[in-house]
Amino acid sequence: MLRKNKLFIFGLIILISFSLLAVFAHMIAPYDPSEIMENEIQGPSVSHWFGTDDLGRDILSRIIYGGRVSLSVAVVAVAVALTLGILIGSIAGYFGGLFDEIIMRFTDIMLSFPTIFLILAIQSVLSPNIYNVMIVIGATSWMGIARLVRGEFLSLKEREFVEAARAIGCSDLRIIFRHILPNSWPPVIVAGTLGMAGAILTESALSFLGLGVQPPMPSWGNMLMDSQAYLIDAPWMAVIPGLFIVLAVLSLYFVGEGLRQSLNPKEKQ
Amino acid sequence: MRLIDINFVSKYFGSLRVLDDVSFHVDEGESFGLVGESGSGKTTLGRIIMKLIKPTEGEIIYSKGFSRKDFQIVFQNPYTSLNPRMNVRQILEEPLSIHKMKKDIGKLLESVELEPSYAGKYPHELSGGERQRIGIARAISIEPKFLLLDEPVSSLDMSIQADILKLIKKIRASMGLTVLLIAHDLSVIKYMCERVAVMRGGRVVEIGKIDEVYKNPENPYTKLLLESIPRLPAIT
Amino acid sequence: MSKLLELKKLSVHYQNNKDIVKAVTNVDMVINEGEVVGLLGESGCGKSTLALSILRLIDPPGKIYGEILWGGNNLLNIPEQNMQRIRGAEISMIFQDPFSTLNPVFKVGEQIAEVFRVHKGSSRREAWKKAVEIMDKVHIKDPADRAKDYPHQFSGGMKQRVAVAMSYSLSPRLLIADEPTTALDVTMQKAILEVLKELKTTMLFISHNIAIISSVCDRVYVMQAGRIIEEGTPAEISNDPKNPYTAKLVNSYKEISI
Repeated sequence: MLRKNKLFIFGLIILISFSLLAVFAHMIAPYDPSEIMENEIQGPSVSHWFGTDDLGRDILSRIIYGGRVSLSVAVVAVAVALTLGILIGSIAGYFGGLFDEIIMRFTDIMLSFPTIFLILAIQSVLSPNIYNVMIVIGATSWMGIARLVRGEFLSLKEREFVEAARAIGCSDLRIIFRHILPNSWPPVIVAGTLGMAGAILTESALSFLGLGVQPPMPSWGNMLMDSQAYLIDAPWMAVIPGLFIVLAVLSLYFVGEGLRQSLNPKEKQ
Repeated sequence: MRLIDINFVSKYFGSLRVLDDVSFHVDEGESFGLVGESGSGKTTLGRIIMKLIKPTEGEIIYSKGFSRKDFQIVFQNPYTSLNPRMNVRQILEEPLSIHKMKKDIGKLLESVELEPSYAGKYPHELSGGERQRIGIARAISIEPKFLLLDEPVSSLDMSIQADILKLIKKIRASMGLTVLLIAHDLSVIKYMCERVAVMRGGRVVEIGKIDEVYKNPENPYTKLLLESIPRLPAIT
Repeated sequence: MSKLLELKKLSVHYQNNKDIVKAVTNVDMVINEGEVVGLLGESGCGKSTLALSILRLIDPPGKIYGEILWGGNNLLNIPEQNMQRIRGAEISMIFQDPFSTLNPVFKVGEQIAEVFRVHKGSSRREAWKKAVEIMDKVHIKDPADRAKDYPHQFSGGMKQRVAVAMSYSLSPRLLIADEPTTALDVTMQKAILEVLKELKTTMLFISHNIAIISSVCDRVYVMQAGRIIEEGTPAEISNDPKNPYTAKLVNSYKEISI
């Protein structure tokens, strides 16, 4: 069924290509991304497929290395969010009662914060770099996953096979990890792909504002920041990073949607 | 020799009374039937005996103590009582590893009349009857003393019900199990049990040896249950 | 006896990419006016699919082949509009699960009344009156009051009575009952069977329980893996089954029955 979904395939191809570019950046990029060459603000040409920026750096190479940044931030941030979300959500959902109340109120409070302002506030206090960007994004986006996991746990723990596990003597820990978690993957995976899309957007916004990845390390977001003064003279400086951000986010949405569709009818017995 | 003594057990879910002052006992080695319709409380009582739910009032005395190893349960719905993400081998090995026992999975499968090759299969590849056999294998793998069967065949086709019930009888005989069978079908209870308790609205309304209860029911509800059984046309 | 419904070489196939699932294959069946005909089979044999195909309620990728003759016309050839007029009014169906037949947010009386408003164009008052009458006919106590209740205020057996009431409301010529008592307790089962018998409508009664079928039906078709493998009266089927599968069904029942 997944094979039929053209958008899913498209998204998957884009993601795989971007991942390969990210991993093999040093072999694929034609130039060093910080290398300053003579020909500044050149439009796309044979020697510079995406042109050069205001400092004469090759945009293609910066895009490739920038991709590495954006994707690694997305992956690590989501990993942090998933870890926190699954831990918190499973405890709340499995044990219920007071635990659940306290945890969910805390989650509600976190959700009521306008996250972007929270991140901005944190980043303006710390000295922003790629590492704290990853952690901050992860630490402010676990709430949706926690809610999701809690919901899954609340319904799954009433299922008969969980009761059966209890009857044969399984400990709570075993039930959580062996029985309930493996059956709650589908919505979590989908949330993960959407989370990655969100992380890319957030990192781009932060870097655009100067609170994310710092130059000279390229990120699609800070390339947008650099391009602001040159929108009329060198539109490619803005359009190209913007296009890549859009492609990455769209691909993640398509893949997430495709996964959601295919993982659903499995339960139909 | 009494194995379980149920003393004045009541259970409330909020203000809903599901069990009302239930008392009876089960002897060691016997096959006891608990019959009733939906809402009779029989399933809840089963869960309380298995210590999966706590009673609101009353208590259960286990003359030889209670342990998860000694008291096992086979569930009604073969489609929901097996973890869909575990294969047969994993399902059967789990209770064994928890109770630190080793068994040959192939032999265990054979004891429920399944080929050893089933070990690698997942629940969705099996029919209802096959899944129920796995449920039984899981329960008997750790050699319990007591087996609670909660409507073990109601979700199965009629042609398979007889096979599964025969299997349970065979296993009970070879392992010397005490069996408590919960069902709404009086025929199934008669086939499997020696004594029966009829439940209605959370209470035991009649109790006694099967033959006596079925031939001379005292309670009008028991009479109604017996009359409601559809029969095959008599030989003309 | 006149033929009311005749199925000729009826098949239902589901096409999924390269696989074809043959749910029903070459079924011949006759239901005469006034008869209660049974369809006996276990889960997955295709009996529900057969029932749905009579009402042309099979969704793609399913396709129905063969002939469904009703009053001389092949139902498979008539336009959908005409089919909608037949459904509920001439051929009606009762489903196994009473819980999903009724819409939880509407009063029970309203749901029955709707049948009259839609099919007969009755006014609200007339339709409500008819609804109460029908509820009385299926022995629901205090029907005038009960009609104002919601589905969750009824027990399973009562809900099924309401479902029977709904399907009977337009006095259909053929009632298809698909495992109407399977989800019910045994005491309610008896009550529903009696309600159905009282209606004296021509019926196709589907079940996996040979004793229930025997107590209600004049003739029985036995179905296995999409095909009809035997036909006879309940006495013939139970006492002298010709097909080994039928024999197996009978024996399984006899082994456990009291």
